[in-house]
Amino acid sequence: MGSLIKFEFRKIYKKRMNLVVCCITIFLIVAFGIANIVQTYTYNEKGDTISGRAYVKYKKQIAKKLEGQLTNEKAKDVIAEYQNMVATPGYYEGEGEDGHFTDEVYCSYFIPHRQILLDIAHVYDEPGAQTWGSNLNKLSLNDIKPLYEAKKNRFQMILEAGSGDWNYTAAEKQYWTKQYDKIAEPVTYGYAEGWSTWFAMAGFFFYVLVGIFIIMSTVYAGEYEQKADHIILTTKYGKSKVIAAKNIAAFLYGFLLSTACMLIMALVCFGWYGAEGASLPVQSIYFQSTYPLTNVQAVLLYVIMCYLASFMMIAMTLWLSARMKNGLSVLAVMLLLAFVPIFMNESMTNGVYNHILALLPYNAILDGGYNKILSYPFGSCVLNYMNMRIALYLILAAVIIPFAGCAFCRHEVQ
Amino acid sequence: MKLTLEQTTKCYGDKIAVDHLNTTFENGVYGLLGANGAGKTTLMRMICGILSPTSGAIQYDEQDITSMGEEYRELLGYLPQDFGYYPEFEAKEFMLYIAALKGIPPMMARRKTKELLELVGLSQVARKKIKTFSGGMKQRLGIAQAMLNDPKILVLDEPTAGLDPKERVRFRNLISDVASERIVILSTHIVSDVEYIADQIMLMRGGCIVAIGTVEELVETIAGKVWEVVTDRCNADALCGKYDIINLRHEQDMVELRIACDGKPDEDAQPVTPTLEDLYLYEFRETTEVK
Repeated sequence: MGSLIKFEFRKIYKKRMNLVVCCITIFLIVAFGIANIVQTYTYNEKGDTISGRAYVKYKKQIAKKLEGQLTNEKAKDVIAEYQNMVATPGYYEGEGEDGHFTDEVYCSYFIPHRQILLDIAHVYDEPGAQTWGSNLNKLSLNDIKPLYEAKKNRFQMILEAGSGDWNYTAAEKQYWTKQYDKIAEPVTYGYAEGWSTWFAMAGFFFYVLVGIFIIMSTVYAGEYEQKADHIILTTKYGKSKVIAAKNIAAFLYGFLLSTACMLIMALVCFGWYGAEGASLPVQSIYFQSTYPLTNVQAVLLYVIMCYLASFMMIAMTLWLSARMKNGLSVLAVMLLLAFVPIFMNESMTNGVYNHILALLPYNAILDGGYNKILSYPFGSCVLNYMNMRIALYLILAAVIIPFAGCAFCRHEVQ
Repeated sequence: MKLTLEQTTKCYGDKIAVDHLNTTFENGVYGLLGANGAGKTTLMRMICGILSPTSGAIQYDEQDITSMGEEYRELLGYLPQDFGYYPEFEAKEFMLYIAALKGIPPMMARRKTKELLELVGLSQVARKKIKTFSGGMKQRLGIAQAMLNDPKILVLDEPTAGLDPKERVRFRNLISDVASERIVILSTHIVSDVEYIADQIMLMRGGCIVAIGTVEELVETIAGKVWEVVTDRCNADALCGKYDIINLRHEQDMVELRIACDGKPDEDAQPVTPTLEDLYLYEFRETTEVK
């Protein structure tokens, strides 16, 4: 069996087209990583554009100043400071929605405080609305509820209101409330640029999926096209062990390519921006998140989900490859499955459609979903968006893969 | 050791590729002769279990080959008509892969690979990629892989296609050497390939076996039906229009014709000893004697 796996693996990696696709996939991930490093910039207190290592250094300086727990009192102080800045003559231009800080104040005050300001401001937004901080100046410090009380209120209002025509079931409400209660409050802030960059970059893994299914499209169909099936199917293990060997080799190749790309992404995120902030809660990046996880836990779950999505895609590709007569047909179906969701927008009214759409590979990979209250109720059992994807992809991969074997076994030469 | 076909039929829609075939293969070399579309390849594929019969059964020692599964495939060696290979694989690597598929232990696989590559004259290029091979070399590699597991049933579909005359002779000798204690079924268009080595010749037409027997037995069936005549061009043209010509050779102003027909085609015609090729052409003539 070992030698069969070795040969099947060799067949995959030796194929010139596969080598090209593999190189392109890795190149894309490297290119996206470099682009992220090169194109990420901010303005320092003097208003100079800074990027590269200087950007990282500056972000660490800012984080150092703001690190620690964001308590109710601190939040109030932040709002008060913001309102003072707006009220200070010469700091703010215009009024209301059109108002903005002067360039100097924008760089010296707003940019360093941007995340914490927007996080606080969003708590006081109406459910479903996002004012991007423009509400901060309207808040009455004497009247507003403490930050975490307001945050919980908003959360409960969202649960009651539902999303579109999706009304949360009692089980979902109970689940999310339990999850919410597990979140450590007050939220601790700190430097976590590497982790937030990882969340931003994770969507690029979609291209790895595309690369993987292009490569896998010929695992079985390639045998039919080359007419090697004639020989394989007449050998002792041609309808038994070779199927397991092909599947294992395909999964191994997919795993290795995924891992190579994950490592590149990790190198960019944690090698360049640093791995500090691993133990900070994911709320330090997504303040409204209802997932009681640390950054490292959230990223690990995301990574597991990405791997399982790739396994599911491999299983589906192998099944189609075993059923169809050529790799191009397989590719056409898989490309449709992968790319059509890009053009499908979320519905404003159909929650069920949105729940299904969110599970399609493109949407699933693009967004970790840690800032969403999206769940899938099965009676009293509720799976959050992340767990649902993990479970679904695992089940689909496990269920589909035997069909690939059956299709190859039953294949009759033409 | 007996391979039995009982009422074996294969249909593709309305077209019958193999028509209620009944025959038994025992140890020895069987040469399948037939024109394109006669059903040879379909029959071989069914014997190899990669194509299911529409009806009927194929049994090995009284057991249905489908239910035997691995046990049956372990006995098989198959060279398909269109030999699928992996261009990026080296010859040795390909052989070891097939050996792994056939469940041959690695040590034995290496030994058998070395032996067989030597036997088919590919030992010098064992480390070369198959994509650099000529058609004949690929075919020889195909023959070698079919024999890796020392098969009890060796099925070779057009094994000599692409081989030069010297290689064909080598192949014939090879088959003769290994033919004892196994069933060898080979199909070909080249009559001489089976004439010397086949114990039994099977003539297939329209999915049926129209004749079966040793070369001598089959040739005997057309004794007195093969004629040679040397005649002028004008008469030769007339004879060509009327009879099936096996061979035609120009000699200055005269033409030497070899004709297969039931009666004497010309008053100068002389009966000659028929060959298997004569039989083949006689059996597969497109028209009747009197056109």
